[in-house]
This record gives sequence, C-alpha cells and structure tokens, in this order.
Amino acid sequence: MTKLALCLLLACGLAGCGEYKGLVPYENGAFQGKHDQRVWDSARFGHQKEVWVEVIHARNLQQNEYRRTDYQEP
Amino acid sequence: MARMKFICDVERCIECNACVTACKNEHEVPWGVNRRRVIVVNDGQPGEKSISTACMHCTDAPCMAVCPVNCFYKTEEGVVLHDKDMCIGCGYCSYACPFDAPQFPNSAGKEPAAAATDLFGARGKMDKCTFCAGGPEENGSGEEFRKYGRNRLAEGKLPLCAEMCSTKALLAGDSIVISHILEERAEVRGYGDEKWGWNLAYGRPENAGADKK
Repeated sequence: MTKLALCLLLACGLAGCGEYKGLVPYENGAFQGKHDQRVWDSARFGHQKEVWVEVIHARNLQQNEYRRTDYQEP
Repeated sequence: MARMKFICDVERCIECNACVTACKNEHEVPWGVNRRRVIVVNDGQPGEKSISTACMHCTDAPCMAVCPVNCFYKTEEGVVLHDKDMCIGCGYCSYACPFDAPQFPNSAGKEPAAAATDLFGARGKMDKCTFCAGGPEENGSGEEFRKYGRNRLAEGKLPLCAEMCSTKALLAGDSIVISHILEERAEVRGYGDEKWGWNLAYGRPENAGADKK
C-alpha cells in the first residue's frame, strides 16, 4: 500500500515537470530577446498595468451589444 | 489579463469587408497587402458562410518555430509580433501559417503559384496583423507607424477591424470576455457557438518556440 502511494506521489510529482510556461517573461526590456515596450508602460496609463487592464476591459465589454443596449432576456 | 484573441462569429459576418478596409486605412497598408481578409465558404450555395481572417496570434505559433532568423516574439498579452529589421523575407512563415497571414509587399498582386516561386528575399519584408500592437519600435512613434502601423493597444483601444465591425461579428480582446460575449449570443439566438479556427490556433500549449532567445 505504501509502495503504491509512493508510486502515485512520484507520478504526480513528475507530471508537474511536463507543464508548459503559460506566461511570456519580459526581461531586460525585451520579449524573447527582442526589445519592445510594454503596452501599458506610458504616461497615458501612469506606467501602471492595472489602469491599462481596466481601460481595455471596459472596451472589451463594449463589444457586447446586449449589455450596451441594456437588453433584457425574454 | 488573459490572452488576446480574435473570434469571428460566422453567423453574423455579412462579408461587408469593413474590417479589411478599416485595417488598411488605419495602418496605411500598401496596395496588394491584406493583413485581414474575408473568406467565403460555399459561395452561392445554401449555408454559405463568410469568415473574417487574419493572423490569429496562435498559442504555439508555427511562424515562430520556422523563422530561421528568429525575428518573431510574443508579448505578455499573447500577441505575436515580428521585427522587420531582422526579417530576411524568406517566406518560411508564409508556408507554415495555417491562416495564410504573412504577406509580402513585393509579391503582392501575384497569383499564389507565381508568388511562391519568387526568389529568396525578393518578396520584401514580411507584413502581418499586429493585433494593432505595433512592433519593437517605441510605442506610438512615427517609425513604429511606418513599419508596423498604429499601436492601438498602447492607446487603450482594441483592434480597429473588430471595433469597426458593423454586425459585431468580429470580436477581439481578452479571450475570456469575448468567449462570454459569443456564448451569450449563442444562448439568445439558440445556435452557432462555434469559435472558428480556435482549435487550430489555440488548441495547443505554449511551446519552446515562444522562449527562443
């Protein structure tokens, strides 16, 4: 029983090694070695990502015409 | 912030080509180069569908994997961009892309067979949809506009093709939000919840191609 539990633990532990990175790192002002600015890194957004995300999120929601026109479900 | 994606709601696209026109006008894309275009499936037949297509900014982008000079990169928002100063115009990305997104100015207007035999490097620098996120030049600069077009994301705006879409068939932005918009629509009308091209573009995990240095 202990052996089985150890094998299961080992299998689960090794499974974690197969995970892919979900995020692209931004290092030394570059993405994968290519220099670029982050979209939110400007005076317009106070160099704050949260402000840009909020603005873009509001813009995203405007694409939903049901919400824009205050649609009520029948 | 989730990954930026496009959805074309094929039940709504009416092949008006406003997205194509908006893109060309916004970025002053040269004659013959179409970063976005509308494809009609089963033209003239019952069940005809129109699909607006461009670079889908794939999760595991094949263009990034095949580029011999490694000119592609992916931003934190999942937008696939490239450096035109590094591009040698070999055309490998064009062959690898399942959406035929990469465009070459010097091959513009030619039949596909003729363009495919253009000599190595004679095609010019590759051009494609940037998700209105510019390129490696300084955000909002003249140089960025000249090479890659306008950087609307850095202005807090979404791609103009989607924002100009008269029927709101084309959705662009945060994948979670636009997925919910499509789901809500499908629920109201009772059909058509298919996200065209999503399995092909986003159905695979991030790969080492995105980490190339």
